[in-house]
Order: sequence, then structure tokens, then C-alpha cells
Amino acid sequence: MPVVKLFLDRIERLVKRSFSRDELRELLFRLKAEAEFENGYIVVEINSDRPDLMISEGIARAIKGLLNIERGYPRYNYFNEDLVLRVEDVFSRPYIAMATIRNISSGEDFLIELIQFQEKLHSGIGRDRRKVAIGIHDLSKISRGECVYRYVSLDDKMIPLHLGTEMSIREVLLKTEQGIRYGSISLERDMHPAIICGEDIISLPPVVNSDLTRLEPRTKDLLIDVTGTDLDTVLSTLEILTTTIAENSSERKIGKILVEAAWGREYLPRAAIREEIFDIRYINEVIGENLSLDEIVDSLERARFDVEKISEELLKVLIPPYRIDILHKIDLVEDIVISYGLDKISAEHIEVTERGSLTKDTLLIRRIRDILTGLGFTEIMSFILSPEDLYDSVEYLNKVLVKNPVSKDFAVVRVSPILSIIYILSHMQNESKPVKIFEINDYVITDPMNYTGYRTKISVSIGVMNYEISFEDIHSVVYSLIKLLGFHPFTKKEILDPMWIIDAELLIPGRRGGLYINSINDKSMIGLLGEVKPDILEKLKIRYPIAVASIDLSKLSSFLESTS
Amino acid sequence: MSLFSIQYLSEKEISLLKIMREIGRRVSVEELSLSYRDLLDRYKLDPNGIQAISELLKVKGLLNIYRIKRVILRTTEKGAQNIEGFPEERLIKYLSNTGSSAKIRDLIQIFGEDFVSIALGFAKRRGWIDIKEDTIYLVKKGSLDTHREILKKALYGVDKEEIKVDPDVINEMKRRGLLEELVKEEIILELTDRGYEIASSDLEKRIVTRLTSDLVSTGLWRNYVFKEYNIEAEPPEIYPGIKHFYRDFIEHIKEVMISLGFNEINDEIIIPELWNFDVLFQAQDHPAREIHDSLILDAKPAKLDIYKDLLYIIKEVHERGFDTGSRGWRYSFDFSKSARLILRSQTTAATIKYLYDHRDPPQRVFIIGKVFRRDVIDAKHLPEFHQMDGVIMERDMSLKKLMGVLTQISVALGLGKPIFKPGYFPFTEPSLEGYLKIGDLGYVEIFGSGLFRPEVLRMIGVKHNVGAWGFGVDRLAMAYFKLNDIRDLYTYSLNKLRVMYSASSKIIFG
Repeated sequence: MPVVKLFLDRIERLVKRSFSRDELRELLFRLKAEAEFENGYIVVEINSDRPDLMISEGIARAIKGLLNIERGYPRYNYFNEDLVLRVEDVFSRPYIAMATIRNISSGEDFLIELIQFQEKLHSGIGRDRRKVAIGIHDLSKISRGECVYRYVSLDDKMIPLHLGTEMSIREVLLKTEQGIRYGSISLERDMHPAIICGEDIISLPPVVNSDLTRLEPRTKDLLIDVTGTDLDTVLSTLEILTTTIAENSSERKIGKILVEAAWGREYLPRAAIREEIFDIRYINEVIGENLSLDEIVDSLERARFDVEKISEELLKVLIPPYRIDILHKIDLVEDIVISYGLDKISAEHIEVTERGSLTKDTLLIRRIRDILTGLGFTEIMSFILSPEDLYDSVEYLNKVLVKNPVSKDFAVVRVSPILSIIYILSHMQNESKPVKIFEINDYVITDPMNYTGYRTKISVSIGVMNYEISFEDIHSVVYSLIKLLGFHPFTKKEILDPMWIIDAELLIPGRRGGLYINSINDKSMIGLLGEVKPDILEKLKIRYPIAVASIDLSKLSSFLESTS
Repeated sequence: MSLFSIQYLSEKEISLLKIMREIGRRVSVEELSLSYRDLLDRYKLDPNGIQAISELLKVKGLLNIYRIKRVILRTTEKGAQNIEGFPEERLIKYLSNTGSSAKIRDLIQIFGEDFVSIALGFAKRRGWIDIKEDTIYLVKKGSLDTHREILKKALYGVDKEEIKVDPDVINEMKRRGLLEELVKEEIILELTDRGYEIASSDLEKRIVTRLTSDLVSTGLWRNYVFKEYNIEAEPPEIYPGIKHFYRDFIEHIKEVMISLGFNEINDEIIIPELWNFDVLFQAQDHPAREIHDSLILDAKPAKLDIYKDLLYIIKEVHERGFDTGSRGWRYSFDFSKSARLILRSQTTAATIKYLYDHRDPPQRVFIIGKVFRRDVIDAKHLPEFHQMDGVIMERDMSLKKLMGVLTQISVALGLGKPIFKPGYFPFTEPSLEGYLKIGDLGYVEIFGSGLFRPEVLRMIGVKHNVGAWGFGVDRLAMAYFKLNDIRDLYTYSLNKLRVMYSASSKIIFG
């Protein structure tokens, strides 16, 4: 979740109130934000769907509502700027909108937060500048009249922000940090989109702004540009920026700029008001409680929505444009709940009428755990993700690889429970002997009959490690287990189910066998047992002989179902 | 004496008892060592060890030990020389052979000055001579037989009490350096009656370590005495096979859930993103999808033709909301992303698929299973861990009812009533976070929950509200078992497993 660092005194100045730590923490909790306090700052974790809260102005706006200082839909003063933006065909990044915010009180702290705000929007809604990019300029440094958004040649020149010298666009893309990171996004062969006002390039979206329009602590008027690949997102982003930053000054003056493009000709931002009509019965159905109409209206207004009563049951809710998280009526219900106070809503008791049931596998597993511990085996829990070199060192033919593992030790999804048990025992060589362990855990096999091409199975794997090993050490155990589960076990040299053939290669021929239940055919083979080959032990640096068994629990379970 | 004797006697102890019996009286340790060497050899007893053995026998009441202080007189080397003749005696003898007088200077020449001065002094004192100027005159012939006897007796030391003589004699000889007086501590051993009894029996042939079937069935056990065990010592360690403490914890949670009317389900771990994200209304390009970076399989995509209709609905819902009244995410849905195979990153993927296959109320299911995330491994994170997800579908499911179910579950798990706070999850609205009081950690955020969004319900075709919740079981287990490192849950150390097993025996749920 995104984290922002905000100045405590900025928030207090904007709300025109001071807060104790606990008070502020509570208020932020109600905005689903978690705060930590540092010297003069708060470090807040904010959900990615509330970018409007990622600057003190936005937080102050929301808090004023919760504290009843300002209610309802926030009002801004829109006017039309003289500026016109002519948009040409920029197919790699077609959409653009611009607006101004007038008479703000800037300052170092504001600028720091503004840049952070911009960054968070870039990485969140902007999808790392691919979908949307933002430029913020000092309006006083722009020659008025007309700005154009078009492609420029890579030979054209500009002065990138903070770098005093003029350079070609090509150089900007190749040599500056932003050029290297973001240059390829909208580059079109030998052209790149640019915003030109008067004679100068003021911005190269999504890469970098010009130094000519650099913001200063004494900047009074801002010009904002938003470019991107999706018109809706560009427009929403402009709304978020303008409405939120405008909260900085009591004038709240937002200048609309005329955009003339093939895809539209209008003054932006639209400042359009979104409406949702709903029945208070819907709200109360979801919550399960009967809030009165007045309570609902009050809660919505504190959450900065305007409400019009259409009837005793129907409400029209006006949603400010910066609330991009409101996708459906249900999102308003949550705001009502939070505004009203979650602590005022009590849990409703539900009757339990029937006992639930465990899966057949779970019941079988419980039995198996009882029997195996009774035979002196200790249960181990380990991982399904296994090291790739475990499989490579024994030249195991079948591997299910993870494309982006977090480490080499967790790079393969296990397909061989026998190999896993051997691996676990290799870490237990210093335990007193005999070491007797078992594990019941998932593994996967390839299964072309399944739509994913794989199937998850459960295995019971058993291992014995000792100074001396004989086949009986595992044979007796497995038979005891199978018989106590009510089945008749058989062991045969032939591996009739092809699923076990690769694993069988880990075991000494003549000292290994397939385990069958009740009859002997490819459908009744449920497992494999035997002594591990000494060269396998050597490869895995194991000094003691091991006998293992692995049983397909899913298959065993199906036998239980058919006999019951 | 009872044959079920609790006394265990070593060979050496029995030997000493028998020796004492043969000697037949009380004897000092010193005497034993010096005068009874043959006896000690016969029984192969080292004289140096006698004292230790006697202490053992004393503890068992078979021997009495007395410590007596005695004064001993012993003849010194100088005294030993005097046994042939005291200096004054030799002087008198000389005088009586040479006319009863002699010149002092002649005597000195013959006997030496020291001898003459001692001899003259004592002879005069005893009144045996007279000294006139430089000549000695014999007066009386005397001898010191008494003195001599004492010196002889005291050659190897003698108890002062045994010398019955005028103390002046002894003092004189002490003064002359012929006798010395020492205090000695003697250790005297004496058999008790019991000790005598045992020494008289043939005991060492009749001590056995084990009661056998033969001894019992023949009745011969009566002839034997059983060795006493050191029951206070630690026995050899043995261990049974044990169940895994964490597995037991998970099974306990399952029991709680079924007692509240929930049915357990299970599902695959390799799934397409369709179930893990798309059907849960997580946009394919939404940063929320990075909340859990998932582990992608190096494999061919899933064949999703069986879900063709579902995919169509998903695309419509994601892009513009379809007929749900939602705005949707406003992006272009990519079917190939849906088909990409991953290891499931949340167990909600299993519950949502279950609801897709079971759309009518009531439904109450839960799953506890492994999930996989691309988390850097540290004390709190592993790429593979257990998660629990539950869903409840009823005709009139509501937020309050969801809070009710969660309260029921928390209380049944012994964790008390939860504190609810607003939360955020991409697929639920409203969402709640549940905080539970864990031991002395205070209130910890444990579970996330909410009602599935209308978009989600539309995609899976369910027409009633569904409450859902989930939590990381590993984290809860760590808090429960007071473990600081998640890796301790998956240890390969048998000792640690046993320690945790016994720790879990003490933890009472509730």
C-alpha cells in the first residue's frame, strides 16, 4: 500500500485546528489510513484507490467533513482561462488535458508534498507513467495564447528540469535519468510527444518537464498537464489534481482550458457531477440495520457527498470527481458505515443449526497420523516449493518450475514426495538414530486431462534413516498402516502406474516395489516403497542409508469412498 | 532380616564386614592397615580405601565408627641411643672401673665435652658423684632401668596411659629430648549386630538385579535379595512418534469451524489467474494486484474454453461494469492473462470457485490451505504459508450478520470478541479488519473480511449476499505459540518439535 509523508502543521493549518496524536490517528483510521508519527510529520499508509488523500490538502478536505467543519460536496470556483490547447495526432499518447489553479500559497513544504503527490499518482493510477503522466508548471512563466501538443523531432531542443543546459530531445532520452526510465513509453521511431507553449517546449510527457516552467516557493499560479493513453483516466486524474490542490487556498480558483482535439473540443476539467440514486432500503439491507433517512444523509454529507431527497426512501447522491474509488452504489454504503461509525453497529447473532463436515481426505489423514505416530514416526511439516538443485542433482526428469522464484531454494513445485523426504532426512543426519519421520502434504503431477494441465494431490511420505537399513524397515510399516486402514496391501516388482516410474529410479532395483491395494493393476497402485540408491545418497551428501515410502492419499481416499 | 532387603552392598563392603567378623573385636583403621595385612590381602582390600568403605557401612547401620583421641609417647632417635646406656650410667661404670675418681679434663679427652657435661650434670643431680675442683669422685652406683624400660616400650609409640610411672620420669626424658608426646586421632571400627548378621550370611551370592519369570514361577525368588536402584537418577530418554504441533493447531481450528456449521473444502494449488484475480474483480493492471506478487508457473496457459461464458461476463464487468450498475475499471481486458498459471496467492480463489459451482443459499464453507507469494524470506515471511478463508451465503446476509459470524468464530477459538475497523480489499465492500486480543501482545490485526462486491457476485452468478473472511494461519500460530520466527513452524529439529509439542500441551484454548 502506498505510503506518504505529510507535514503535521500543514494539515492543521488547512483544517484550521490542532490535533492530539490520538485524535488524528482516529480520524485517519476512519479514512482507512494508518498513521505513524515522526518529528513533525505523519507517515500514512493510504489505499491505492484514494489518491485524493495523498497530500495534506486532500486529507484536510476529508477531515473537515468528518468533523462537521465543512459538509457535502466541496465547491470550487471554475472560470475559463484564456489559454487554448491545440492537440494534434499523437497516436502513442493521444489524450491530454490542462488546467490552472490560481492564487495558491506555495512554500517549500507544499512543493515537497506536491512532488510526492505527483509521484504517487504516477505509480498508482498512472501505472508507472504508462497510462497517465502529469506535469506541473509555474503559469507565470508561460507565454500566453496557445499551447500545442504534438510530436517533435528528436533533434529539437529543450532545457530539462534542474539541468541548466539546453539539449536535444535525443540527448534527453539517452542521457537523463527520466529519459532512460521513461523514454521508451511514448517514443515513436524518431519522434516524441511534447507540449509547446509559445516557442518553447515546456514538457516532454511522460519523461520530464522543462526547467523554464520550474516551480518555486513563491509560485502563485499552477498549470497542470495530464497526458495518457486512456481518456477517462486522463480526465479523472485532472479532476483529482485540480480539486485537491485547489483546497490549498480559500479562493479555490480552477481555470478551465479549452482543448481542441480530434477526439473532442471542450473546456477541461469538466467538473461534471456524478449522480447515484438509491433506495435507503438497499443501504439497510447491506448493513442489516435500520439507519434513519436523516442519519444516512448526515453520514453522506460528512463524507463530502451532497444528498437530495427524492422521496422518503429515495436519495440522489452527488459524488465529487476525485472519488475514483466509487464504482458502484456499494462503495457509498461503506462510506456511510464509516461516517456513521462502525462502533455504533453491533454484531448480529446467527443461529447454528447443523454441525459441518470435514473432507474425506482430512478424516483419512487423521487416522493415518494416529497410526504412524503409534509406529514411532514423528510428523514433519515442510514445503511444497523445493530447491531446483535437489531435482537437478539426481537428474530427475520431471520438473515444474516457477518463473519468478523468490530464491533458488524455492524454485520448483514438488512432484516427488519421495525426493522431499530424502531431502528432509539429509538435514536430520545429526539426530539420534533411527530417524523415523512422515509428512502428509500436497504435491503436483502433470495431468493433460485437467484444464490447467496439472493436478494437485496429497501424499503420505514415510522415511527411515539408520546406521543400517533393510527393506523390512519400511515394508512392515507400510503394511501395518494399510491393514489398519482396512485394506489388503500387495507389493510387486512391476510399476504398473506410469506416474511412479521416475520415482522408482531413485530406489535400488530388487529392493523396491509398487504398493497395491486389494488387487494388482494400474488402477490399484497407490504407492511406492524401497531403499534409496547409494549414489543418490552420495549426491545429496547423506551418510546413512534410507528407506522410504510414498502413498497417493487422494487415490487411497477414492478407494475408501468406493468401499463405503 | 527380610529377603526383600533394600540394602545394596558392594563386594568391598561385604569384604570389610567379613574381615571385622574374623578379627572379632573393635579395631582401629591404622591397626587394620598395619597388623592385619594378610587378612586384607586375602579379601583383596586396599588399606587406603578402608576408611571410605567404613563410612558407607556406617550409613547403612552395619558398622560403628568411633573417633578417639589418644596421647602417645614415642622415643626419639636420641632417646633410642640412650637405651644402651644413659650418659650418667656410662660415667659411673667408667669411674667404678678406674678407682672411683677421675680428672674432668681426662674425661673430656675420652668422652668429649658434650657427653661429659650431660653425664656430670645428671650424675651429680642423682647424687651419684661428687665434684671437688677438677676431680670427680664416685659416691654411689645407680642405674636407670625404669627409664630404659619406658624408652623401649615407647620405641614405636605407646599410649601414655599405659605407662604407669612417676610423671617426673617422663617429664625428665621429655626435657632431655628422649621422648616426645603426640596427640593422635584414632578411628575405631566396630561391627553392629546387624553388620555381624550380614557378615555371617552368604549374602554376595544372593544379590540379583532382575526379577525373572524363572524366579517367580519356581518360587526361588525367596532365596534372593534385590539390588536397590538409584531411583533418583535420570532414566534413559525415550520418545514416541509425535504429531506436529502446528498441524494439531490447524486441525483444532477445523473442529471449531465445523462446530459452527461450516463444511471443509479443498482445491488445487496451481490455478489460472481467472480464479485468483479476475473473478475477484481485481483489475489486470490494478496496483492492488501487486499487493501479493504471485509466483508464476513456467508452463503453458490453462485451457479456458470450458469457462468461455464466464470469461465473457468477466470481461464486460471489468471493462464497464456490465449490468451491475458499476462503472467497471475502464481498461481493456486480456483473456491471455486470465489463462496464465500461477500458484494460488489467496485461498479466496478456492472459496470463490466453490460458490461458482454452488450458487444457492445457504452455503457455509471454509478452507485451510497453502498459499504462495513472492515475499522476501525473513522472520515474518515465507513464500509458502497457510491461509484460511471462509464464506457464508444466506438469503439475507448483511454486514451485521457477518460481524456476528466472525464474533462467533473468534470466541470459539478462545480469542474473545473482535474489534472491527474499516478495511480495504479489492473484492469486498464494505470491508472490515478484525483485531483480536492475543495473549500479552494486545489487540493484533488478525483477519480481513467483508461482503463480496456486486461485481464479483455477478461474475460468479450468485444472487445473494456473501460474507467472506480470511486470515494468515501461520501468523496466528506464531502469536499463539510465542514464536518470533515463522520458520520455526517448519523446523526439522526433533528436539524443537518435542519442545513445541509439550508447549502446546500447556496452551488451553479459551
